[in-house]
Amino acid sequence: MGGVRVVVSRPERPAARERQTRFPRSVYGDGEEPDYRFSLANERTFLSWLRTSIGLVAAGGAVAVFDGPDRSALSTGLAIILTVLGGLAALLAWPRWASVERAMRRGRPLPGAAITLLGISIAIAVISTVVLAVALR
Amino acid sequence: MTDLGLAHERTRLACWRTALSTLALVLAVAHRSSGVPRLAAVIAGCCALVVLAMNRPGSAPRDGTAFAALSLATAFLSASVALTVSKSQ
Repeated sequence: MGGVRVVVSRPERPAARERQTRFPRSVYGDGEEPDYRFSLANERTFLSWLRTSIGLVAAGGAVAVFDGPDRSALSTGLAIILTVLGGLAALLAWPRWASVERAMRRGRPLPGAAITLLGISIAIAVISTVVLAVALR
Repeated sequence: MTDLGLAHERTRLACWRTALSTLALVLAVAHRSSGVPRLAAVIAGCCALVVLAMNRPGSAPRDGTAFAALSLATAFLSASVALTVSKSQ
């Protein structure tokens, strides 16, 4: 008498499945899930960077709009610098979030912000110079 | 637990605020531009809408997809504004 074979597949562990499906795998692929509050704080920091970026883009647009249609090359340059800085901040925010999240999952020290601070300092110096040049024109 | 719940809510609100700011700026830029800059603004708007959809109440678990989309939205918006400014010079 032929019996019916029942194959019972063992359900995959949710943590392992999450590791395979969560994007990006370079972040969620290994390490342990950190305290949720730390992950959320990291996410809010990322969003703050994006809001800074939006502010820079809006400032660039405002400089271009308020100087009128026959604006000088200097204000156009300032508008473009502000806008490009905004784009850079947006593009660099994601790798920064990923590296912090990866460090937290692996229990390593958080990556330093020295390069970011250096970039911001240079940007502020350039913008101040251009604004001063426009004001003294 | 309350602390965690509030942190989650605060983060979700921050995400909505960022996506809505992006959308507002996208509308302003798309209104004043045409051609490639408008296309970039429309792509940015679509990315922001995706983020809003992914952050609807009850959506879990969180991962990097929404962050990548939001980052892209802002980068496209920046490109759109830069192109609009340089074209109108």
